[in-house]
Amino acid sequence: MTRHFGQGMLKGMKVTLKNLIRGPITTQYPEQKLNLAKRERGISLVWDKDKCIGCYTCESACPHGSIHIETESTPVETGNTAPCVKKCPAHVDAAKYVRAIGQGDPSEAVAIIRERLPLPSVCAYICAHPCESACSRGSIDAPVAIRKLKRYAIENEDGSWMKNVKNKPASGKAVAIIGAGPAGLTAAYYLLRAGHKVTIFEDLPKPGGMMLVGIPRYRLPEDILMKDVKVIEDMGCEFKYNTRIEDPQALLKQGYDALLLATGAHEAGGLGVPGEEDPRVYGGAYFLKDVTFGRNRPIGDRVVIVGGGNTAIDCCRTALRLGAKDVRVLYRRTKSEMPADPLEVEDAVDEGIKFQFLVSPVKVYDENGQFKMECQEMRLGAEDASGRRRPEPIPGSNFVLDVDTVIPATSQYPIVPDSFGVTKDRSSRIQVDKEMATEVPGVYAAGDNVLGPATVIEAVAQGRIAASSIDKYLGGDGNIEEHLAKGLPLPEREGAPSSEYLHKFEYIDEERRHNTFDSVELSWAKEVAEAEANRCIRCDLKYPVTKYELKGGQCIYCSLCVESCPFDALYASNEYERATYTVKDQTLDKEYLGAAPKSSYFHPELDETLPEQTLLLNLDKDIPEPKEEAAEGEKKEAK
Amino acid sequence: MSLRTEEFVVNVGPQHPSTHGVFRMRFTLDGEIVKDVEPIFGYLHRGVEKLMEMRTYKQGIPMTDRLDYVSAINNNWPYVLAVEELAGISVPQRAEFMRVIMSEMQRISSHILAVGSQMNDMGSFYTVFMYMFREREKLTDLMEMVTGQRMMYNYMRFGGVSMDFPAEFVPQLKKFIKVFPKYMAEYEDMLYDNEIFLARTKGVGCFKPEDAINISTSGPVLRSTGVDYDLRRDKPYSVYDKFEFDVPVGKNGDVYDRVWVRMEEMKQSVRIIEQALDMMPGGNRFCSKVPVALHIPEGFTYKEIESPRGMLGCYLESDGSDKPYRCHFRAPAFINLTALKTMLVGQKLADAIIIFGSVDLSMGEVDR
Amino acid sequence: MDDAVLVTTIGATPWYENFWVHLAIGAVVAIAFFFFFIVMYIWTERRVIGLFQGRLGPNRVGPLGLIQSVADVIKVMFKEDIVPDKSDKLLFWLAPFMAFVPVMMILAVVPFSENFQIVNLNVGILYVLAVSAISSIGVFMSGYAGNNKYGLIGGMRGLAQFISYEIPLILSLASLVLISNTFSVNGLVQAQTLPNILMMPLAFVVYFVASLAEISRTPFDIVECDSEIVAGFNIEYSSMKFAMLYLVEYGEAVVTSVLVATLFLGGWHGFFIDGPIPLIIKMVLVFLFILWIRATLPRLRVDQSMGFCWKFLLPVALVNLLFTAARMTFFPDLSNWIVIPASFVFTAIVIYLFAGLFKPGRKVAEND
Repeated sequence: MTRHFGQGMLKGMKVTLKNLIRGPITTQYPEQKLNLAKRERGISLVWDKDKCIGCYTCESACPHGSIHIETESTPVETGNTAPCVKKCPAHVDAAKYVRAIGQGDPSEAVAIIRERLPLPSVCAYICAHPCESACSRGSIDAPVAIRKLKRYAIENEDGSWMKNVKNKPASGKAVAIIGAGPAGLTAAYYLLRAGHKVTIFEDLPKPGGMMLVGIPRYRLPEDILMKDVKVIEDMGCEFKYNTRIEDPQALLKQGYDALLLATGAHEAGGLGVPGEEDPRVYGGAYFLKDVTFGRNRPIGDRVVIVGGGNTAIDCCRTALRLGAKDVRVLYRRTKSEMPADPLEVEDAVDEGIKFQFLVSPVKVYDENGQFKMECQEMRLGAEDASGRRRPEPIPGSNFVLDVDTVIPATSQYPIVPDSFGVTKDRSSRIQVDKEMATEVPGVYAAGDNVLGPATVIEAVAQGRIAASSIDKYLGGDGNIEEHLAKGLPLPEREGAPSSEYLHKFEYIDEERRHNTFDSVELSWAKEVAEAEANRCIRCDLKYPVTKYELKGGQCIYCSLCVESCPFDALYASNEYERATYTVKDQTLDKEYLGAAPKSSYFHPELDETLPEQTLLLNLDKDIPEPKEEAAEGEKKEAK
Repeated sequence: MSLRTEEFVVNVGPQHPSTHGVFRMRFTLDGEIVKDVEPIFGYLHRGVEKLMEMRTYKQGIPMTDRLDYVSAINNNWPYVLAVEELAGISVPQRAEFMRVIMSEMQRISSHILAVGSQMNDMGSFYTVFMYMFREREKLTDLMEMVTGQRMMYNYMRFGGVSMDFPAEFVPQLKKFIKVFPKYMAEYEDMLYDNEIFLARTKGVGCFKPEDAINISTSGPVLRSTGVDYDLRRDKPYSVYDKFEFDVPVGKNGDVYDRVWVRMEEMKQSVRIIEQALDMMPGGNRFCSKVPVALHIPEGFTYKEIESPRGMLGCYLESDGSDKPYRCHFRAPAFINLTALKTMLVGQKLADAIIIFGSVDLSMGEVDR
Repeated sequence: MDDAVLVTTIGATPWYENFWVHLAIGAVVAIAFFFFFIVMYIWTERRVIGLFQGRLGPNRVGPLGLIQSVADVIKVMFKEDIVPDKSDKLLFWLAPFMAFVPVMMILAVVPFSENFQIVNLNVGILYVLAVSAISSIGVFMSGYAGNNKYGLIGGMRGLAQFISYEIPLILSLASLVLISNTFSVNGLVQAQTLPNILMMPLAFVVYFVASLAEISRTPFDIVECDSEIVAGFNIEYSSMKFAMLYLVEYGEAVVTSVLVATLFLGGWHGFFIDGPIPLIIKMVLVFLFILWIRATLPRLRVDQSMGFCWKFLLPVALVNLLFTAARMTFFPDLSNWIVIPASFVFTAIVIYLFAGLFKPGRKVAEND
């Protein structure tokens, strides 16, 4: 087709004429009233004086140094609970004892810990430290190493907490506790304080329960465990080892007034694939238990651990110490989805353990005496309810590994005999009410047999509740609170909290690390510990801000300060309105859209499944209310 | 008999209506014909890469916005990808889709600016520009809805995005992608049939595929020459492998093809947004809380994405502290600019301007 | 004073019909008309182009922004008057006047109504052509005198374009003179019982396009061409001297639209009443049409503009002249009922033929 000069220009002129007829889309603000959506606009930042504690996080977050703060050096009490304390199942006042360490008084710190935690030494070594993941310092660089500080305190205390201990008069009642694990020991401690007589029945020859058999010695040396147990022993607790209780009702008849079931979750789950009956498949919990008592089966050179939890890491590092040459961990998701403590994963990698992610076993089998394991590669698919991406197998990606031992460390569950006479759920966990009471009067349960496999600190929290309710059941007031700390003056601080990054953890040398079960971590020196403790931004105190300056000319409205504020004390105001679609614009689109929607923001297609806007800001009031919209629509119709 | 003629040197820029920023070209002219051109840049040098070395990783994100201010969201991306790889942060699926949607919106708005100002260079006195900005305004509004900003969105974060889509956003975006192709048809009427537009663009600033590859150009400048290469399809990052879209490819590598490629890419972006909106899963926009002063283990990485201007790469090296040891950007416009001399010499002065415009550079990215 | 050259429209009896009195009144009215319409045209241009582009245009100063231009004039008068150091001072001073005065002088022969015209010159058409050519010298002078390379390029382009487009302009007017048998502008109007646009549309097209180029309006605005040579010839001017050059632009627009209205649209002839009102309506319509073109089209390149003149307009104008001459020679008394359709058919055929032959761009392999 030959195109003639001029045709296309006429076409263009048609378009311009069309747009002339449509009329202007710009508006004469403010003469012409606009149909505007009210919305947040990151224009003016608002600082809430009441919420601000003067932690200087916003100042350090600002990329342009346009925030300048000055605070008083003397803090005041706010009565707020720090996030670490909130997050701790036993509500140990981490904020306070970290402060005490910072002030150079580890004994005071131990007293504060002892107020709510009767196993401080154990927790100082192996606590899962939920407090650290909640730490506000984490929004600046890295959380304060609270567990490590606790260890420093435990190692440097002088035992002065004992001075403030108050025992209640003997009540003459007797309590039997089955299981000398964290829950049982905790309950025993508080029941003894309340004046009851306590007897602990333990299946194993030593106290500690899962702390003894579930946690390898390189993490928790036995003397540390025994240090905590000894305190309870000294209080007059009676231990009966190698005693397996089959019928708890009989104990009640023997003269015990109440009973606590704290048997733990000692059974290991299988591999869940064909061929798992082979003796070379060694359940993770059994493996660790056998190693504790030195009666483990030989594991050979090539050991594969399946799973990504803390047990898997314990197993792999234990296997390494037993002399396995090639230890690898298979996990079906990726590193960031692993439930294990990242620090421990890092330690494991340091020790030379290989991690293979996105791999899942298909079957294990014997081929001419060589044990083999067939695996399959995975990829991450859609997210499941827990927010983690569900792994899906990649067809045809199978490969075979030669192994000597396979250790599945994917699950653990309690075994509660039916003779206990308590209700159980599908994972054979004991069903209890809020008071930790079972359906049988006088029988209580706490710890892993209620929780499923969980952490020491959770078991301690449950032990506390159980002790309190048993005390009430036995006629006491149920008050197990202790006041051991003498109280220190509030610490002064000039300017911002310490800007130091998380202090390094020191380890024993590699030779010992590979071949012995010696405790891996080394202690911190006084200076390091105090410097680390001073990294705390002290969420429960408030350093009153005397000057809060936001240099408007420098601010680029990047909102990093708003995002980083741990206390929501900074937010963007909604003083400014803005345009989405103007009235004129709506009529314009009508040409192509058909009838214009009733209102510019409310739309029938509105996706109900979408989550509410999760801005950092309090947006609730700004999402258009349907009422107004309907009214507007009616008005338009009336016209 | 021939008259004695003399070459003369004209400076175009740094203050000139058509330099798209503060760029300067020293033309040696013979009458109207360009004999030689010397590009001189650095007028907008702010030392962004050095500034990033002095700021924590998270504080670097607003810096990347200011590289290519016309497509800020795309500029966040390679940096965020690099940090995520080094720090081992994973991104939830929902956030990936949100990133794709926002960056495709940004691509449309950037191409609108490119084509609109191209018409301006051609003397169409802001008409096409204004019509296209009408659509761009809607996009900007939509993006403001999400981010609260109209230009420096500062949207991406390590492990997610800064803000979730507000409730009214998705219906409005759906409306926009329904209407936009029809407005596009209008612009095409104004461009592709217009004899003056054709006369000005066809065969002007031709560029051979060999040259394009040798100079390592990318983006529409590369694709206009007929080289079929788009990172979104050929090296898919994020969730681009889930979408179905075409990569428009030109034939002659002239200004017309560059405009055409950009116009087509806008349509493809609309397709991608449509699909992404349908496929977008629920869930979180964030995987975990990332601290202000994120410490990254030692290492280095190079990540690249397809920005509206081409392959935008970020080389990031960490020394284990909370600040990058080195952060370098492969700015596509900067490398495309090196093709300028090949395209310009022998052309008329008037053409030189539109060829320069068709490279579509933003000086923030070139000078950094 | 020779009667053959200067004739007052009415016999010389009362005092107000005295030649000098008439001249004075006429001059005042014409200059007032001229300036009033310049100011109004500036406002109209800004408003209408705005509306074409979906904008509002100036709307803050006075009702509907009507006195925006007045405000601009006041502002521009108080600006510092900068004379470049190395400029040619004499020419620099002279150029705005050289450009401005001739434009105003053209109005002397424009009949505002049957009986009102400053000078009814019997060679009015020649006068118009001669005087308007002087203005282009002023433009070149201003481009040259400022000692600026952009200005020089602009001036050179302008001079080349003006000279080239004079030829089709003159040729189309020649055909007009042929059918009307007079050189007097008023005579031409009186002869238009039907507007000339109907009698000879081809001449109208040629004249209109050529005069667009003469007043350097889109798509022939290569003289100013702000995306390439910033502002062209007037780049070094400021203050009142700039204002004068700016006024020249709109003065030319006023004069051209008046001339188009006079020569082709029947001048002061109206449907119901004769006189200045139909003339003003017609000239505003012509101006609006010019604006419509400006809002739509990009600019031609300088060589394409020349090619268009010499390869398209000139042959078409020649054919038109030949055709008209042939008609006046062989069929001088043809009925209008035959002439009008015939000339439209003829126009369509000629444009179709020449448009098929003419292609402004260089040849490239077809893309589509």
